Amino acid sequence: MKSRVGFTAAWLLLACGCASVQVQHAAAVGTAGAAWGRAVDALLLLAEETAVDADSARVLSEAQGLSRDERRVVLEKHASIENEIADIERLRRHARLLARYFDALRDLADPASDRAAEAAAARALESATALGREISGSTLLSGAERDLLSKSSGLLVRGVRERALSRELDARSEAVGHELAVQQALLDALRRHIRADAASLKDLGRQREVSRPFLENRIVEPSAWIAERRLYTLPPPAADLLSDASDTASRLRTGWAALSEGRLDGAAWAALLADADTLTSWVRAVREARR
Amino acid sequence: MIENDAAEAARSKLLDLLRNRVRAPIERHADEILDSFGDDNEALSAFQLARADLDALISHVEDEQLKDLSLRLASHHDELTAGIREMAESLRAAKTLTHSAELFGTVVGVLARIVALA
Repeated sequence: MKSRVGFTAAWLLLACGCASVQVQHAAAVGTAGAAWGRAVDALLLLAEETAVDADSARVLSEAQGLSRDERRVVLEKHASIENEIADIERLRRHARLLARYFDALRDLADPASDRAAEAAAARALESATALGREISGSTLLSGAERDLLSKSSGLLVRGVRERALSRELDARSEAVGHELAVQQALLDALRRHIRADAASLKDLGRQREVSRPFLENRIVEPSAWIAERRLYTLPPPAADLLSDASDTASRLRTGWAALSEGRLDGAAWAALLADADTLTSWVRAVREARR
Repeated sequence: MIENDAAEAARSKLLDLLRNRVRAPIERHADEILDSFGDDNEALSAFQLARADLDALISHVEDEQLKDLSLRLASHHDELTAGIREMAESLRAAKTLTHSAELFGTVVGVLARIVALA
């Protein structure tokens, strides 16, 4: 009986050991993917706000020198901004869904439940041994066998997770790969959109708040004018970070493709984890820039 | 997919052209251009309304671009939702094993104490 228990546990240890590498990779891709989904959501919010502000700046600029009726026509021509905002809101909902997907992938790859199962099994086996001692004076299992059995319980849980992970990659590797390709195209479109709107805001704002009041000699508060001029002269902080995000999108796609095909080298894994950190700082920087 | 990519690349080029080559230089020098009309209000109005038309055109192309990307992403919505649900169910199944071991340990532990006291 004892030798059969030992044999079964040792077999489980051997059988489950080889798949753990893919689980580690899935955890890395899950962490990076969730961070990326949240960063895209933050970027979409930034795009939304920049688009509305730039549109308002254009309305103000284009209304100069026009009659009341003509101004109304200008306002009507700018009504389509609402459609654009509705589109961005739809994209934000999808970015949040993508982040949730990668959260689920990371949770499934997290070994915490294996360790919990191992600890629970160890406690259960200790109790069983204590009961056996009380009933028949036998310890039933030696300490080494108890240890082996509790480890095999952890491996059993890991086996369940690994099979689920394999099923998930088989079922959705193509769809998620395609999703990430579209996400990369979206990021590129947003980057161009935000840059164009930020440039409009800067050019039109500088004329409205800085040059025109100066040329027309209607500066009421010089300190406020100086602050405005500084605002329009300093470069926007998020510009370079946007191109970093595009690189990360490309690496995430590569990471996902490698995970689906069961390959990912250590350097690529480390780069993905570093990307997750970079993206977290990037989201923070985007939020700061918005303020 | 390839057709989508080609259409997207063409639209992106058109947007770059309209935003950066047409609108941006006008906006950069808007005040100077407006000053140059002097008292010619009719020409000024025509220019300002033409600017608003250009914005409407750019906005229309941007809207089409975002709609198209949104549509392409929405085609994965069901797949992602199913993935989230299935992974959560698998994780719950794995945790059930742990809970079973915990329950077993608790029951047997209590039994051992009862037997020891008897």
